[in-house]
Amino acid sequence: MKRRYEIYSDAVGNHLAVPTSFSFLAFLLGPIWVFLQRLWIEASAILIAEALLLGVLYANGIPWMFFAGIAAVFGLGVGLSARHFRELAAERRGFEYTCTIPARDGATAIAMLAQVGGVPLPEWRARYLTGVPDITPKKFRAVVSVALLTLKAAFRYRFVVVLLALLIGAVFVLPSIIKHDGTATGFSQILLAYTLTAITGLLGFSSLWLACGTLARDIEDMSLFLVTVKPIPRWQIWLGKWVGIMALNVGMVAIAGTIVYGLLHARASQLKPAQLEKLRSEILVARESLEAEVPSIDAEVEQEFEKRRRDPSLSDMDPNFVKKQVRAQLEGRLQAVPPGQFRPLPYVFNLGPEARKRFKDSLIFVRIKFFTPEYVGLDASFDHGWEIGGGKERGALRMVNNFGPDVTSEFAIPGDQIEEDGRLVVRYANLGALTVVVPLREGIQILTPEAPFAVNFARGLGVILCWLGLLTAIGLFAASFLSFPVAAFVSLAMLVVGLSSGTLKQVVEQGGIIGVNSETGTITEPTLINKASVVVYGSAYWVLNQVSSFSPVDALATGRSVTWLDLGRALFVVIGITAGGIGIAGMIILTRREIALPT
Amino acid sequence: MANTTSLPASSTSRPAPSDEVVVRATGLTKVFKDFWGRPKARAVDNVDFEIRRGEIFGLLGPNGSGKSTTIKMMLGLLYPTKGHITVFNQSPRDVQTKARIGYLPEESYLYKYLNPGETLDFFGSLFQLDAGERRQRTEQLIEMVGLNQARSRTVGEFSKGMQRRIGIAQALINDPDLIILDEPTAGLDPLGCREVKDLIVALARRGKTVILSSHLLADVEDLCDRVVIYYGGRIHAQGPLHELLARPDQVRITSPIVSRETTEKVLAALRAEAGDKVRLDNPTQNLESYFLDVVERARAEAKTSGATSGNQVAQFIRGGSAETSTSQTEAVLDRLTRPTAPAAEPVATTVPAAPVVNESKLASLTKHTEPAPTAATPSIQPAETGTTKPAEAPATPKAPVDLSKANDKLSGLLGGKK
Repeated sequence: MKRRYEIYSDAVGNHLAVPTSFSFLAFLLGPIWVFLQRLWIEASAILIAEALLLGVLYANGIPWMFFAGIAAVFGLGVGLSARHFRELAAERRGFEYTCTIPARDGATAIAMLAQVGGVPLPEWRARYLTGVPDITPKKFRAVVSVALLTLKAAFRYRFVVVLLALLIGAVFVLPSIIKHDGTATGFSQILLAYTLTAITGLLGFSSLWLACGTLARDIEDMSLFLVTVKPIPRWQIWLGKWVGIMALNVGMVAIAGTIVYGLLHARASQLKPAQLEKLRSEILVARESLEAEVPSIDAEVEQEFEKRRRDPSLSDMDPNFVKKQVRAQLEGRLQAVPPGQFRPLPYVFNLGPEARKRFKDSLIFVRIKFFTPEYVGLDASFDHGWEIGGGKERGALRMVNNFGPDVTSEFAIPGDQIEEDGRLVVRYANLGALTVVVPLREGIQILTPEAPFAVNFARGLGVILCWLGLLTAIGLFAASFLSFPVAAFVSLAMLVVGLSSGTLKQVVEQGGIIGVNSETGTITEPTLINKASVVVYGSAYWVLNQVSSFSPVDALATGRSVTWLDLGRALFVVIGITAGGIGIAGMIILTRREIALPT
Repeated sequence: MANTTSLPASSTSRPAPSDEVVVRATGLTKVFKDFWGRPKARAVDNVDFEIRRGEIFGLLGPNGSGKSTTIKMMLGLLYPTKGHITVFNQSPRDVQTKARIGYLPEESYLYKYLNPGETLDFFGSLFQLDAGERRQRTEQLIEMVGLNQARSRTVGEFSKGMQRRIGIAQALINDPDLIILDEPTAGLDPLGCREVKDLIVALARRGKTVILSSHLLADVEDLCDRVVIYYGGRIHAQGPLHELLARPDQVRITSPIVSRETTEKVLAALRAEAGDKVRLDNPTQNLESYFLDVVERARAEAKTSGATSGNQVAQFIRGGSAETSTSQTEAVLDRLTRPTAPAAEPVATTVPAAPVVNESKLASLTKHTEPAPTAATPSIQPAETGTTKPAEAPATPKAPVDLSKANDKLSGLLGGKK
């Protein structure tokens, strides 16, 4: 059977025949075959990626058959890409493409070229191009084409190489510079929290930059002229660029995530056995956290408010302010636990009807975070007493332990303390010498095992990708109507506003921006501007609050679960609603814009 | 590009343009405004014209007269301030209308990091062409514009002329019905100019409509059926070129060399009626024709690593199936007028002028008896043969403390339960 050979020629008339088909030798040897082609950088990159992946499998005790599977996948990739590796090797050696000849072997192909005087026949000139494949539905062909172009630009301008170097540098260098304290918590804080934050930051910045650049620059250097006069709606150009940048982000997150995961397992052996056990049981897990049901205090608030309204000394005060104070006071009573006393109300957790069946043979965790009304020093700790669960069949579990304030602490309890109806009742007693404050939200939580860490980690990376999708949309939106430097500035300014949710919340709480009473912290006379500002700031705060509630880094570093529901919500809220809304605005602006206006 | 041995464009006959209006501008006006919306410049001012199918239509005028603005409105890149412009009876912003247009801008606005093949493949995919079709058209167009030798170079490395060539190729990837060419010959060598002009004529012969904007009046004179002349955003003259240029008060007689006596007799007869306004001189050919003759003679020996010329018009542009004849100008032009044929297999038997093929040797090769490499074969290095060189965190609980007292307290609180 005849194969096709690409003939490459150099300046002095030497020829090289490159087979265009799958290479079994490359499949069998994988990266070693790439080394044999003298493609040192490419071969090293493949080897490192393969070694890391195998390391991760080894660290997780995955069966050997998976090792073979991974090696086969890499081999297949190299085998399929053999033609491109050979082309690259030929070009680096000074050869240039001449033609493609169907022949039995490479020598015959070169001989055929020689037979026609070295001038290729017209039918030999056709060369396979890597472009949009026919399997792409026609409707999406233009979008895929623009996406591939965006990716190509990122590679050709060396953006990918620089970004990859920075990412790998951050992942390897950060844990080397910042030493952990030998505890499982410190270890995960540096290897997971810091590195994932660095990756998110780098990719976030690069997404904004690339998004602004790819669209604004195309408009400024008029490349977009030639695209917009073709039969492609402008919204598809916008979408294609978003897809292209996101494809790059997916690749970058996958590479960086794999390295972090591998390093996490590889370096875990540095920990002492007790800490290693803690790491495996509390951090390298996926535990779903559940808040206790918050008792309604509305009736008590109203009752107390009515009582105080009759007090003449309070008659000239803003009723809303008084009510707010009453609520704060009553909530404080629920949060404060005096020394030597039980909290008046027990914490009730509803884990669902199947909970007992699911967790009766496994450990679940109680997490506590409390504060003290006065400063007690860094080393202070308090005794805590617990009466947990029980139900009809068995008695409640009583426990006493000792934790410090201001930080999150946790301890394990057997899962069979959950009652038949899925409820878990926890009574808390303050056994210390000072009053402690246990916040109503995130004060006491129950953590239950949900999924393996690898799955949790992948879902966490998925949420990070949603964030990157939003940043990309912001960048493209700004570039839809602004020049590159202005678009980059505006995008960063939007990010800063995004990080200023505290200010937005304050404006909403005080009821406006003009005429704030310094004593009460609220607006005395609502004006039109104040009303408008509450609407605007309130909307912005709502959106930011929705979006910023998805923070996978902290969850991953503390072994909390990023559930499928979280990922789905992130996709819906961050990508579907927020990025989608910004995207639609950007597409409309780009469609309506006269892109050939003289500047 | 088109075969350089073809007849000068002006001497080829073309079917008369049809009555079907392809572009219609009515009261077309474009006013550029500043940031505050105040009028800054009236680039096009109340312009009316129609362009019919099969016409080669010229847009003339000095710099800043409104030609490019008109073209940009025609392409939907700018929107009219007043008036209307339609292309194929649709708004120029209509996506389906754009599928019938090919556009060559005055500058190269191509992606600099793509090579010619990738460039054409990208633009082909925007027309939703299948991969096979894109590949075939790409090959034919690269061949046509003479960039075979520059396939592996990116557009950013190209000279202006080469960028022009790939620009022309991208304008033709969709086999358009309306081709808008803004300064198509700018930056091209005389040979390239001639080829572009032949190509324009070839397109018009197939019923394509060509709009040509150029400062090179000779080009326009060679090619255009009708022109409009802009100045200050307004049209100051428009009509068929032969009518605009005709001088009905003069006559020219051209003849082979005759004897002096005969010449003097004729002159005397003419002067008797026209007085001393009669002129006698030797006609000269224009520089372009002379240059092309010289190049044609030198071509057999020429070898270049830049853009080449003398290649066939792409088969899908010609609209015919693969054929072999290239040398006969008329035959080429006849083919150009054929209706569009569906995309065929890659050209199998077309052998353009250049390659010298030893037919008997080739025949023996194609009989599945491919020869082994011979000593005459220059440095063979097949890549896969064994003999060759291939190319906020949870706090750590404190150290254990004495909890017995606490336990007692809890027991106390719980009423003595243990």
